[in-house]
Amino acid sequence: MNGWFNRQISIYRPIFLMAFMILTSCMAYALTHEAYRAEAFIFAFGLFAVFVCGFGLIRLLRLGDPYLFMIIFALIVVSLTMLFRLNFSIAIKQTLWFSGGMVGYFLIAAVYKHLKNPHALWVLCPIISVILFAVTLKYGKVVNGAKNWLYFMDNRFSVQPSEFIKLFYIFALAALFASKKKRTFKRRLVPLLLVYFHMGCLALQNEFGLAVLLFLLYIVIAYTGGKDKFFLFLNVAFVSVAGVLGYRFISHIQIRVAMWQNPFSDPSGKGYQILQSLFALASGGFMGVGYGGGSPEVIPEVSSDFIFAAICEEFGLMGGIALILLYFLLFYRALKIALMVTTGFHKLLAVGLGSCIALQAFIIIGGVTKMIPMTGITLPFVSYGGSSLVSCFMAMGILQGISARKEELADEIG
Amino acid sequence: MSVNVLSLITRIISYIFVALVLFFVLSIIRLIYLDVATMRRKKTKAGDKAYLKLVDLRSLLPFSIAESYVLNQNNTIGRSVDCDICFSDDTLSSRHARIFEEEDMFYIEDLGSKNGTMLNGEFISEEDMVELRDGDKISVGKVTFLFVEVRADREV
Amino acid sequence: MKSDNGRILHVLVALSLLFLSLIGYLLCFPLFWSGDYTDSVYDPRTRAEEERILRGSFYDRKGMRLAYSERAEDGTQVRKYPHGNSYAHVIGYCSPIYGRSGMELIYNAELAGKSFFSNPFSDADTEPMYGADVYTTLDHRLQEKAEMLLRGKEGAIVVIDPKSGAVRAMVSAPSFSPVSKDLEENWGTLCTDSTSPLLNRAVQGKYAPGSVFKIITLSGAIEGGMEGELFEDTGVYTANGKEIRNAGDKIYGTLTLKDAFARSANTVFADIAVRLGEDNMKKLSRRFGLDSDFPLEIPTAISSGGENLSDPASLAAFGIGQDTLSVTPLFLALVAGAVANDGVMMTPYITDQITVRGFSVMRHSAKAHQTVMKESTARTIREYMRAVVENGTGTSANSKHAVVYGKTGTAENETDKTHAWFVGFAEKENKESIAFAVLWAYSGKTGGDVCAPMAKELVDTWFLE
Repeated sequence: MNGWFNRQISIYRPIFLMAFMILTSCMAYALTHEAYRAEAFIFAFGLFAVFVCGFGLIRLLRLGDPYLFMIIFALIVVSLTMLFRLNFSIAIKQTLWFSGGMVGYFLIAAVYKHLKNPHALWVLCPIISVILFAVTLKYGKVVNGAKNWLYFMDNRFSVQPSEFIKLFYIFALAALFASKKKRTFKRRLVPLLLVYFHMGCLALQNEFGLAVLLFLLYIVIAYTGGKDKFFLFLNVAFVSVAGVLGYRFISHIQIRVAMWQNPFSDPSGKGYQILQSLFALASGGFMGVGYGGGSPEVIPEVSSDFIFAAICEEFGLMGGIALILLYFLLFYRALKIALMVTTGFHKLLAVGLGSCIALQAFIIIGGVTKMIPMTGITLPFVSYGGSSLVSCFMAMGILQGISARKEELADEIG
Repeated sequence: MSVNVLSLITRIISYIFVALVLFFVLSIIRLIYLDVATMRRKKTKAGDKAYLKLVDLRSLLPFSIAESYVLNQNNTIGRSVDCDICFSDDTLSSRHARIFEEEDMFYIEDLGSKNGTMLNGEFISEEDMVELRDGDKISVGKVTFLFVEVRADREV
Repeated sequence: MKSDNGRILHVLVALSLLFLSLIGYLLCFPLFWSGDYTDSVYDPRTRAEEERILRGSFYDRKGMRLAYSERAEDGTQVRKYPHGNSYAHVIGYCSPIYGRSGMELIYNAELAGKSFFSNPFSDADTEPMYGADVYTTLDHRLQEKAEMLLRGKEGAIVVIDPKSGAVRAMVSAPSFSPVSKDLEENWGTLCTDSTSPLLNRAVQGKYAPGSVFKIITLSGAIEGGMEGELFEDTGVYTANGKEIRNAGDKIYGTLTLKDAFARSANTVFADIAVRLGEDNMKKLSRRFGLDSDFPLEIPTAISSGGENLSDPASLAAFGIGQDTLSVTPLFLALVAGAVANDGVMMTPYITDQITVRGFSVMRHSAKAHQTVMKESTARTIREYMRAVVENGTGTSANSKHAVVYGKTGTAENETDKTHAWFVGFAEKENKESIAFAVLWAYSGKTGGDVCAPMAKELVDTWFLE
């Protein structure tokens, strides 16, 4: 225990680093936006105050894991830094969503900590999902080829219900796979129905990215649940076949794959978006062109799905990799919580929530960098989008709540 | 100020920002690593006889500390990095106390610490070796440990 | 619960691998793939960057501006070519739609100001940004003359400095207007035209060299000790049942090697090639640069031929520049240059120096490409080439203003219209000499009749300053 790396460090160190992170990003903003210099510093100070308060709240209310919040906050800082540079009005809106999300986060964590038998609530989840799906299919608006938006109040306020369906889905699956009841054929069928119902509805809405995500989550949760290995295998085989058939018959999927293989085949049409993203990546290189130095605004959807390309252009691949590491850390913390808790349900729930964030980040980052075919889902905590941000905060709020539950504090030597 | 100098400065600040994020990730990895390292130590010495278990809720302490420390023949507790059990509690002296094993018995002694060492709520006087028994509570600085001793012969 | 944790660890490992592969992919991206996505015409950044920096200019060796960019009233850049079509191939075009060609393509990064670190302390607001300028070795008077000579014909002219390899003129005909506006108008016809105006025939066109190739065969004969021999010409040489006759079916009788060269006696050189043998002829032509690339700035075609010479008939045809031989005008200009430079072939180059705001950042220095023959051989060939102009097939190249050496060629090809060649060099005391290759492809005329007078005009232009 004498090496530099494993020398004891104070838990306050990340807090200092966070202060510096906020300070540098605000300095960068102030340098590139002369009109808002004073405001930038006030905003930065406010942001840090929120961070310290949040950290204090976790201590005060004994909300368990202290790292989770720090990592999420680092993601938020990166997100706001980029959004303020891309589009001021969007960033202000995102700040409001962020405030709401934070409140939700602590509220959910505090409530969940004291909730008795939370897994009994799972029955509600499919019901809510069905209602949300029905409403979306009936009243939803089509945006970017996917029918997944609900508009309220003369289009001033919009919600993406699928972002929340995701959470209910994980919750229900975790409860089903943690159930200790004898596994009759009927009981095995219930989670399957749930999975295929969700995937079917998402396919109807043309949201294939989310459908893939939900199926991957099913694999992760079912595998961790450890029951019905053969059943799981059968399902994976079935969905692979369905995927191949989908590729054969659905032009939407064919286009995505074709543009992944060769975006130059339609450079100013269907491949335009991914090409602009790759140009941004190439222009950024390892070190980036510097904050405000690039032109990421030419990428369509840059503030939501393609924000990673903008980050890579201005902060370089090093910045991109730093962001990926933050996601990895968040995922690791979720699994650490899963390892520490004692009840099977909470193990599965923590794994599900953590994997959800991680897989989502992987799918969209892989998509915008042309590692895998592009699918339109948001980058958790970083992309612009109220629904996405709030649902991510809710997911992590539950995780924070799990880590705080008294009966879950396992005796680590066992 | 010329535009080019400005863009140079923003560029440097961008680098610093990325470096900070990476450093942030690194410091959290280090904190986590310390957790894992103590867990692993426990695992490899599964047959060990005695360990200290933290009584306080770890997440409420303002410094990083392991949930438990396996005891060897000779263990020093203190803030100094050279100590076998070390954590950055500012009320802890750099070399605070020592727990050692002699002829199958564990003893604790205070190494002249500033704020003293408590055993089951009572200060132990300096230069006094006190025998430890399973279930004893040891308080150093802000932290209280439970002394757990597992003996194969006693378990039977 | 134990095994539960085990499976959670499996999930951790699986997703860690996913993340690792993602990071690995991202690290590879700038190393291997970002090249596909830089400077793309579909990238608005490329256009914006190129618009911001005023593209650099091209100059000839005396500082005459050959191509430059100007800002139009709306702030966009317009590329100007003040000398019409003269430099359409060597300097090329620079179009926002069709990309770039020639030197515009090769030095695109420099001209656009990308390759050099810009001064971070300069005031970007007040100081306009300029790309680097390229000073070429071309001579504007010679280039214009050459362009004029080839107007309306199909062919090419390459003029080099034999001592350094510097290219003095490079013209290909038919030509086209490199101005962006004209390109947009004519692009369709330029691409489909059967005469391929976009092709730079001087370095990328390949033609049978005909008798000009006898210079190479001659160097083999001299180094093979045949200089003193007398050759008996009966008007026909038969190799493996195939007959080779002299041009115009002439019969010269007894000839010295010099006379045979001056009169371009096919029978004699076919005989020499067969006597030297397959291996020697192959080695010889390789030494002169057949089948190899010349490191010129702009891409060149590789002159080729003599793949299979085991048949004596092929070997005999090869010796007089037929068979499968097809070479670029540049290749023959370099062969003539090697004779003028005592057997040392120089590496050709077009760029003299590149300057940024008047400071030279790259300067070319002459490099020898290869020694292709002995100095004594070169001196003998020089004498023989002089005889061609004095009293052989190339008398119309004789100039009052310099001593001209040369070799005519009339090459048969797949059509019934022969290629006319005149390849040689000219010298004058206290004056830089020039080596040249003049080609009028598919002319149906002889090199001595049409190309030698063109060469004379070039020589006069160069030496009458």
